[in-house]
Amino acid sequence: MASNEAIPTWEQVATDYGRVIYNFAYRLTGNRDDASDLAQEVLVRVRRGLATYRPGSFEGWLWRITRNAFLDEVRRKQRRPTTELPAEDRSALVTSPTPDDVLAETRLSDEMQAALLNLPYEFREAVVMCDVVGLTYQEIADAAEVPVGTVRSRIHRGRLMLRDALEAG
Amino acid sequence: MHLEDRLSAYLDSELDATQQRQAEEHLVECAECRTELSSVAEVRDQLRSLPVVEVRAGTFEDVAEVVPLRRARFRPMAAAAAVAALVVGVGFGVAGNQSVPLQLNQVVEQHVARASSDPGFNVLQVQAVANR
Repeated sequence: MASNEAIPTWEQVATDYGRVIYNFAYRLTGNRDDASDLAQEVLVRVRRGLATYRPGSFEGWLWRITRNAFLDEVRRKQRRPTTELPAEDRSALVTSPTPDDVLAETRLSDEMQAALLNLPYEFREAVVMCDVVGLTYQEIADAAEVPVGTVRSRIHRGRLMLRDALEAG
Repeated sequence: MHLEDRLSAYLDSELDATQQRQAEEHLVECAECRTELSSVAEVRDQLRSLPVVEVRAGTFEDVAEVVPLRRARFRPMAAAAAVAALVVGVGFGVAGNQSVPLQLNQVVEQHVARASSDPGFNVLQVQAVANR
Protein backbone atom coordinates (compact mmCIF):
# COMPACT_ATOMS: atom_id res chain seq x y z
CA MET A 1 0.00 0.00 0.00
CA ALA A 2 1.21 3.53 -0.66
CA SER A 3 1.93 6.04 2.10
CA ASN A 4 -1.43 7.71 1.44
CA GLU A 5 -3.23 4.43 2.09
CA ALA A 6 -6.51 4.37 3.91
CA ILE A 7 -6.05 2.44 7.14
CA PRO A 8 -8.42 -0.55 7.08
CA THR A 9 -10.64 -1.63 9.91
CA TRP A 10 -9.84 -4.96 11.52
CA GLU A 11 -12.99 -6.34 9.95
CA GLN A 12 -11.61 -5.43 6.52
CA VAL A 13 -8.32 -7.10 7.44
CA ALA A 14 -10.26 -10.22 8.45
CA THR A 15 -12.12 -10.18 5.14
CA ASP A 16 -9.14 -9.42 2.92
CA TYR A 17 -6.40 -11.37 4.71
CA GLY A 18 -8.17 -13.81 7.02
CA ARG A 19 -7.99 -16.76 4.68
CA VAL A 20 -4.34 -16.29 3.76
CA ILE A 21 -3.37 -15.78 7.42
CA TYR A 22 -5.27 -18.96 8.29
CA ASN A 23 -3.53 -20.91 5.51
CA PHE A 24 -0.14 -19.57 6.60
CA ALA A 25 -0.94 -20.71 10.14
CA TYR A 26 -2.22 -24.08 8.96
CA ARG A 27 0.89 -24.82 6.90
CA LEU A 28 3.12 -23.81 9.80
CA THR A 29 1.26 -25.76 12.48
CA GLY A 30 -0.26 -28.64 10.53
CA ASN A 31 -3.61 -28.64 12.29
CA ARG A 32 -6.80 -26.65 12.18
CA ASP A 33 -7.18 -25.99 15.90
CA ASP A 34 -3.80 -24.30 16.17
CA ALA A 35 -4.40 -22.47 12.90
CA SER A 36 -7.72 -21.11 14.16
CA ASP A 37 -6.23 -20.02 17.47
CA LEU A 38 -3.30 -18.36 15.74
CA ALA A 39 -5.38 -16.61 13.10
CA GLN A 40 -7.72 -15.30 15.79
CA GLU A 41 -4.76 -14.08 17.86
CA VAL A 42 -3.36 -12.27 14.83
CA LEU A 43 -6.67 -10.48 14.29
CA VAL A 44 -6.81 -9.51 17.96
CA ARG A 45 -3.33 -8.01 17.65
CA VAL A 46 -4.32 -6.27 14.42
CA ARG A 47 -7.38 -4.83 16.11
CA ARG A 48 -5.26 -3.49 18.95
CA GLY A 49 -2.44 -2.36 16.70
CA LEU A 50 -4.52 -0.46 14.17
CA ALA A 51 -5.10 2.28 16.74
CA THR A 52 -1.43 3.20 16.57
CA TYR A 53 -0.62 2.01 13.05
CA ARG A 54 0.79 4.70 10.79
CA PRO A 55 0.53 4.32 7.00
CA GLY A 56 3.55 2.63 5.53
CA SER A 57 4.09 -0.98 4.54
CA PHE A 58 0.80 -2.47 5.69
CA GLU A 59 1.68 -5.96 4.48
CA GLY A 60 5.05 -5.82 6.19
CA TRP A 61 3.33 -4.72 9.40
CA LEU A 62 0.66 -7.41 9.10
CA TRP A 63 3.09 -10.26 8.47
CA ARG A 64 5.40 -9.13 11.28
CA ILE A 65 2.38 -9.36 13.59
CA THR A 66 1.53 -12.77 12.16
CA ARG A 67 4.99 -14.28 12.60
CA ASN A 68 5.42 -12.75 16.04
CA ALA A 69 2.08 -14.22 17.11
CA PHE A 70 3.23 -17.62 15.87
CA LEU A 71 6.62 -17.38 17.60
CA ASP A 72 4.96 -16.28 20.85
CA GLU A 73 2.68 -19.29 20.63
CA VAL A 74 5.65 -21.59 20.05
CA ARG A 75 7.41 -20.12 23.10
CA ARG A 76 4.25 -20.44 25.18
CA LYS A 77 3.96 -24.12 24.32
CA GLN A 78 7.63 -24.71 25.00
CA ARG A 79 7.03 -23.47 28.54
CA ARG A 80 4.35 -26.16 28.86
CA PRO A 81 6.13 -29.15 27.30
CA THR A 82 3.66 -31.67 28.64
CA THR A 83 0.99 -30.32 26.29
CA GLU A 84 3.24 -30.43 23.23
CA LEU A 85 3.31 -33.52 21.08
CA PRO A 86 6.79 -34.91 20.44
CA ALA A 87 8.11 -33.75 17.08
CA GLU A 88 8.20 -37.27 15.68
CA ASP A 89 4.50 -37.69 16.43
CA ARG A 90 3.34 -34.53 14.71
CA SER A 91 3.18 -36.19 11.34
CA ALA A 92 0.28 -38.20 12.75
CA LEU A 93 -1.72 -34.99 12.72
CA VAL A 94 -1.48 -34.79 8.97
CA THR A 95 -1.50 -38.47 8.09
CA SER A 96 -4.74 -38.92 10.03
CA PRO A 97 -6.78 -35.92 8.89
CA THR A 98 -10.28 -35.22 10.12
CA PRO A 99 -13.19 -36.08 7.77
CA ASP A 100 -13.40 -32.44 6.68
CA ASP A 101 -9.74 -32.47 5.74
CA VAL A 102 -10.05 -35.63 3.68
CA LEU A 103 -12.18 -33.86 1.10
CA ALA A 104 -9.65 -31.12 0.55
CA GLU A 105 -6.32 -32.85 0.82
CA THR A 106 -4.51 -35.44 -1.23
CA ARG A 107 -1.85 -37.89 -0.15
CA LEU A 108 0.78 -35.78 -1.85
CA SER A 109 -0.21 -32.68 0.06
CA ASP A 110 -0.16 -34.67 3.30
CA GLU A 111 3.38 -35.78 2.58
CA MET A 112 4.36 -32.23 1.78
CA GLN A 113 2.69 -31.00 4.97
CA ALA A 114 4.56 -33.59 7.03
CA ALA A 115 7.82 -32.57 5.36
CA LEU A 116 7.09 -28.91 6.08
CA LEU A 117 6.55 -29.61 9.76
CA ASN A 118 9.97 -31.21 9.97
CA LEU A 119 11.75 -28.15 8.56
CA PRO A 120 13.49 -25.86 11.04
CA TYR A 121 11.22 -22.89 11.67
CA GLU A 122 13.10 -20.21 9.75
CA PHE A 123 13.14 -22.36 6.59
CA ARG A 124 9.50 -23.38 6.96
CA GLU A 125 8.45 -19.78 7.44
CA ALA A 126 10.39 -18.54 4.40
CA VAL A 127 9.07 -21.29 2.12
CA VAL A 128 5.46 -20.88 3.28
CA MET A 129 5.57 -17.10 2.98
CA CYS A 130 6.97 -17.42 -0.54
CA ASP A 131 5.04 -20.36 -1.98
CA VAL A 132 1.80 -20.42 0.02
CA VAL A 133 1.26 -16.75 0.86
CA GLY A 134 2.92 -15.41 -2.28
CA LEU A 135 5.10 -12.72 -0.70
CA THR A 136 8.16 -11.35 -2.51
CA TYR A 137 11.63 -11.89 -1.04
CA GLN A 138 11.67 -8.25 0.08
CA GLU A 139 8.30 -8.59 1.82
CA ILE A 140 9.52 -11.73 3.60
CA ALA A 141 12.71 -9.93 4.62
CA ASP A 142 10.63 -7.05 6.03
CA ALA A 143 8.37 -9.41 7.96
CA ALA A 144 11.20 -11.57 9.32
CA GLU A 145 13.52 -8.58 9.81
CA VAL A 146 16.44 -10.25 8.04
CA PRO A 147 18.39 -9.31 4.87
CA VAL A 148 16.98 -10.33 1.48
CA GLY A 149 20.02 -12.53 0.90
CA THR A 150 19.12 -14.51 4.02
CA VAL A 151 15.58 -14.99 2.71
CA ARG A 152 16.92 -16.21 -0.63
CA SER A 153 19.16 -18.72 1.09
CA ARG A 154 16.40 -19.95 3.41
CA ILE A 155 13.94 -20.45 0.57
CA HIS A 156 16.40 -22.41 -1.53
CA ARG A 157 17.70 -24.55 1.32
CA GLY A 158 14.16 -25.10 2.54
CA ARG A 159 13.07 -26.36 -0.87
CA LEU A 160 16.11 -28.65 -1.05
CA MET A 161 15.31 -30.08 2.38
CA LEU A 162 11.72 -30.68 1.28
CA ARG A 163 12.94 -32.41 -1.86
CA ASP A 164 15.20 -34.67 0.19
CA ALA A 165 12.41 -35.46 2.66
CA LEU A 166 9.93 -36.30 -0.10
CA GLU A 167 12.46 -38.51 -1.88
CA ALA A 168 13.30 -40.30 1.38
CA GLY A 169 9.63 -40.73 2.30
CA MET B 1 30.94 -22.41 -9.15
CA HIS B 2 27.29 -23.40 -9.11
CA LEU B 3 24.23 -21.19 -8.91
CA GLU B 4 22.98 -22.58 -5.56
CA ASP B 5 20.39 -20.22 -4.04
CA ARG B 6 20.30 -18.18 -7.23
CA LEU B 7 18.39 -21.12 -8.69
CA SER B 8 15.38 -20.44 -6.48
CA ALA B 9 15.71 -16.69 -7.06
CA TYR B 10 15.79 -17.43 -10.81
CA LEU B 11 12.58 -19.46 -10.56
CA ASP B 12 10.93 -16.73 -8.52
CA SER B 13 12.00 -13.90 -10.87
CA GLU B 14 13.97 -12.37 -8.00
CA LEU B 15 17.20 -11.80 -9.98
CA ASP B 16 17.96 -8.56 -11.77
CA ALA B 17 18.37 -8.63 -15.56
CA THR B 18 22.14 -9.12 -15.46
CA GLN B 19 21.97 -11.92 -12.88
CA GLN B 20 19.19 -13.62 -14.82
CA ARG B 21 21.22 -13.60 -18.04
CA GLN B 22 24.27 -14.95 -16.19
CA ALA B 23 22.16 -17.70 -14.63
CA GLU B 24 20.76 -18.72 -18.01
CA GLU B 25 24.26 -18.83 -19.52
CA HIS B 26 25.46 -20.98 -16.63
CA LEU B 27 22.52 -23.37 -16.95
CA VAL B 28 23.37 -24.02 -20.58
CA GLU B 29 26.83 -25.19 -19.51
CA CYS B 30 26.10 -26.95 -16.19
CA ALA B 31 24.11 -30.20 -16.08
CA GLU B 32 24.35 -30.34 -12.27
CA CYS B 33 22.61 -26.97 -11.90
CA ARG B 34 19.99 -27.97 -14.47
CA THR B 35 19.19 -31.08 -12.44
CA GLU B 36 18.93 -29.08 -9.22
CA LEU B 37 16.80 -26.47 -10.94
CA SER B 38 14.42 -29.17 -12.11
CA SER B 39 14.02 -30.75 -8.68
CA VAL B 40 13.61 -27.40 -6.91
CA ALA B 41 11.02 -26.35 -9.49
CA GLU B 42 9.08 -29.54 -8.81
CA VAL B 43 9.01 -28.90 -5.06
CA ARG B 44 8.01 -25.30 -5.70
CA ASP B 45 5.13 -26.42 -7.91
CA GLN B 46 3.94 -28.89 -5.27
CA LEU B 47 4.00 -26.21 -2.59
CA ARG B 48 2.05 -23.83 -4.79
CA SER B 49 -0.47 -26.58 -5.54
CA LEU B 50 -1.30 -27.24 -1.89
CA PRO B 51 -5.06 -26.95 -1.45
CA VAL B 52 -6.39 -23.78 0.11
CA VAL B 53 -7.83 -24.59 3.51
CA GLU B 54 -11.05 -22.74 4.24
CA VAL B 55 -11.30 -20.80 7.46
CA ARG B 56 -13.58 -22.34 10.06
CA ALA B 57 -16.83 -20.48 10.38
CA GLY B 58 -16.79 -18.04 13.25
CA THR B 59 -13.01 -17.85 13.55
CA PHE B 60 -12.98 -14.08 13.26
CA GLU B 61 -16.52 -13.22 14.27
CA ASP B 62 -15.67 -13.49 17.94
CA VAL B 63 -12.60 -11.27 17.90
CA ALA B 64 -14.58 -8.15 18.82
CA GLU B 65 -16.43 -9.78 21.69
CA VAL B 66 -14.22 -12.53 23.08
CA VAL B 67 -11.14 -10.44 23.70
CA PRO B 68 -11.67 -6.98 25.15
CA LEU B 69 -9.39 -4.18 24.11
CA ARG B 70 -6.98 -2.76 26.68
CA ARG B 71 -8.96 -1.49 29.62
CA ALA B 72 -8.34 2.14 30.48
CA ARG B 73 -8.09 3.30 34.07
CA PHE B 74 -11.03 5.31 35.27
CA ARG B 75 -10.50 8.91 34.18
CA PRO B 76 -13.03 11.54 35.24
CA MET B 77 -13.01 13.59 32.05
CA ALA B 78 -13.23 10.48 29.91
CA ALA B 79 -16.15 9.29 32.00
CA ALA B 80 -17.94 12.58 31.51
CA ALA B 81 -17.32 12.39 27.78
CA ALA B 82 -18.65 8.84 27.73
CA VAL B 83 -21.85 9.95 29.43
CA ALA B 84 -22.20 12.77 26.91
CA ALA B 85 -21.77 10.28 24.11
CA LEU B 86 -24.51 8.12 25.59
CA VAL B 87 -26.82 11.10 25.69
CA VAL B 88 -26.41 11.73 21.99
CA GLY B 89 -27.52 8.27 21.13
CA VAL B 90 -25.09 5.47 21.83
CA GLY B 91 -27.49 3.03 23.34
CA PHE B 92 -25.49 -0.12 23.72
CA GLY B 93 -22.48 -1.13 25.72
CA VAL B 94 -20.45 -4.24 26.38
CA ALA B 95 -20.62 -6.16 29.61
CA GLY B 96 -18.49 -9.26 29.77
CA ASN B 97 -18.80 -11.10 26.50
CA GLN B 98 -22.28 -9.96 25.60
CA SER B 99 -23.73 -6.76 24.25
CA VAL B 100 -26.54 -5.52 26.49
CA PRO B 101 -28.60 -2.35 26.33
CA LEU B 102 -27.66 0.29 28.86
CA GLN B 103 -30.12 2.31 30.87
CA LEU B 104 -28.99 5.91 30.66
CA ASN B 105 -30.30 6.90 34.08
CA GLN B 106 -28.41 4.00 35.68
CA VAL B 107 -25.20 4.99 33.95
CA VAL B 108 -25.50 8.58 35.14
CA GLU B 109 -26.26 7.45 38.67
CA GLN B 110 -23.22 5.19 38.69
CA HIS B 111 -20.94 7.94 37.49
CA VAL B 112 -22.30 10.46 39.95
CA ALA B 113 -21.89 7.91 42.75
CA ARG B 114 -18.30 7.29 41.67
CA ALA B 115 -17.72 11.05 41.60
CA SER B 116 -18.50 11.30 45.29
CA SER B 117 -15.39 9.27 46.09
CA ASP B 118 -13.20 10.84 43.43
CA PRO B 119 -12.08 14.39 44.25
CA GLY B 120 -10.97 14.99 40.68
CA PHE B 121 -14.35 14.23 39.19
CA ASN B 122 -16.45 17.11 37.94
CA VAL B 123 -19.92 16.31 39.27
CA LEU B 124 -21.47 19.41 37.81
CA GLN B 125 -20.35 18.43 34.35
CA VAL B 126 -22.07 15.07 34.55
CA GLN B 127 -25.21 16.52 36.08
CA ALA B 128 -25.38 19.21 33.44
CA VAL B 129 -25.27 16.55 30.77
CA ALA B 130 -27.81 14.38 32.57
CA ASN B 131 -30.23 17.27 33.02
CA ARG B 132 -30.36 18.23 29.33
